[in-house]
Amino acid sequence: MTILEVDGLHAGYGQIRVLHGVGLSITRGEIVGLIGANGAGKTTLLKTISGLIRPNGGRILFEGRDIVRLPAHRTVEMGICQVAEGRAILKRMTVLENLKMGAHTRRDAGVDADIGQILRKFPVLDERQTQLAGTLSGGEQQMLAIGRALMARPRLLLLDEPSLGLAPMIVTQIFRTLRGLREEGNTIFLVEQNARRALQLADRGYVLERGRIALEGSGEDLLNDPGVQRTYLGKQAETTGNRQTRLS
Amino acid sequence: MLGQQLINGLMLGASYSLVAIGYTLIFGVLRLLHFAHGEVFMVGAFIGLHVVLWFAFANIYVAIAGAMVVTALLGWIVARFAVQPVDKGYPLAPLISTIGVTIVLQNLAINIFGGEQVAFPETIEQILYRIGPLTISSVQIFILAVALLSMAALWLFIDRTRMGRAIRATSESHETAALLGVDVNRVVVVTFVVASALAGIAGVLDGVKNSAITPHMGLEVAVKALVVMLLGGLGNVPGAMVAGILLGMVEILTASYLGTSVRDFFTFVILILLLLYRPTGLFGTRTIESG
Ligand SMILES: Nc1ncnc2c1ncn2[C@@H]1O[C@H](COP(=O)(O)OP(=O)(O)OP(=O)(O)O)[C@@H](O)[C@H]1O
Ligand SMILES: [Mg+2]
Repeated sequence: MTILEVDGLHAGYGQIRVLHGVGLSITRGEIVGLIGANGAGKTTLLKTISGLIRPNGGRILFEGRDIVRLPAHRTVEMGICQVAEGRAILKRMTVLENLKMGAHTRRDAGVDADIGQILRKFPVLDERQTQLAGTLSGGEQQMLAIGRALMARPRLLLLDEPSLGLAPMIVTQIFRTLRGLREEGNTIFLVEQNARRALQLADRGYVLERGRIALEGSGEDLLNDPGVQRTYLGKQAETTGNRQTRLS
Repeated sequence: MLGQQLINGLMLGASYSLVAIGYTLIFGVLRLLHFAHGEVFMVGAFIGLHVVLWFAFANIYVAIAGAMVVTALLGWIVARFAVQPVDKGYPLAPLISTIGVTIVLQNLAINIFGGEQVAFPETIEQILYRIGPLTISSVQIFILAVALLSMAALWLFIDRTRMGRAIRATSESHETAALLGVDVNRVVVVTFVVASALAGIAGVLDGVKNSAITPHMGLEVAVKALVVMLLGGLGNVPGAMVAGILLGMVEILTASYLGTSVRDFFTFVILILLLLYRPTGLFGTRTIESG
């Protein structure tokens, strides 16, 4: 069943046009990867879906409802949760307060139980409950950002480069976490520079080039696509890619 | 009489803190210096006065409550009609807009209440208590108690409540807060309302303390509270609480040992030294955080 459908989406910043008619769809329970070069518009696409940016045209249907005009706090209420690029945790709040902020839209009694669950899922956070989040390491901050997003019980999780700037071992850990989240039935839209890992994990993937979807297919198809290999996996496979696979 | 001076300083400082907390809260969520905040304080004083004058049943508590309601409403109006409509990519526009509010409020007050100093009636029976060498009046105790209680209530609000957390999140990042489901515009309005109500309380307390108020009383307090905000660290609420009391003490001590005429001079010396050597404030942070 389709949970998100984006159609002919145009968006940008004032005069600057970034997205030129993007279309994609996400089915419940799958991980969909989005890869693309720096500046292709990946972050812009996520921000438009989550309502931080108002599009200039196009449609965004979430569970069948048009959410194009909704501001970010309303899309969160509907069940879309974005983990922003660069681990946007609240640095001056404790780990526990960050998790509570994750449940900001919830009024039910299950919040405390969910906090316990997240802390069990991420033991590093459990040990640091009362620590200011700004003092966490990069990997711990990313775990917190993901854990906090889960606190909203999202029906669609948007992740913007969760592996950015992290050591290979931590990246492995994050991808393992994401795999676990899918097994629990979460739906994830994953933006990544780390194309190989993202496509290995994803059920399906899209390639975004200068604001347009250039290619789509199953994760495996994209991994085997000569164009994708040349542009997004090529160099990596010969040099850094080898090192990364060995390390992980 | 150092002990006596410290009590006086605490009293003076506590009202600086109340006003400075408002500046700090608003600066936290919008990076905006709310220029008219001192005028909100002044409006609070006049509302308190007139509640006492108009209503036979009114005591000082009713006066404070009335002032809080009206200044809270004023905060809402300023946020919705003077700040948010112009808060669209021109960083100076909201500042200039609040300068406009200052002019409007002052002239309104002069037109309605007259430009002269007005006596604030005695609302609390003067009783002097002697504790060893110290003398404390019932008025002083009242002012101090109200100021400290208000600060404690504010701290609990910021530290413990859902809305308080949302205010702290918003002052870290509008975008992050929005992605967590916080209605940032609403948080900004609530922040203005809370900050303004605190200034309203401070205004009434000032009337009680000085037994007289004028439409121009906002300026001096605004400047002092600004120094306090800088002392405490931009956006740092507990910092503003402590720094306000510190400045009050310093002022009373300089006034009593060096004379009243150098008091304000000294305040600005502190400000200049601070800007030169500790631009992030005494406590070196830029935060709204719990204790
Ligand atoms: N706030 C902004 N104002 C103006 N232009 C912006 C803004 N943010 C991004 N852009 C521009 O929009 C284009 C797309 O940016 P975007 O951040 O969406 O790319 P991206 O695919 O996420 O890149 P990266 O992989 O580096 O994160 C870029 O050319 C960028 O310069
Ligand atoms: Mg990006």
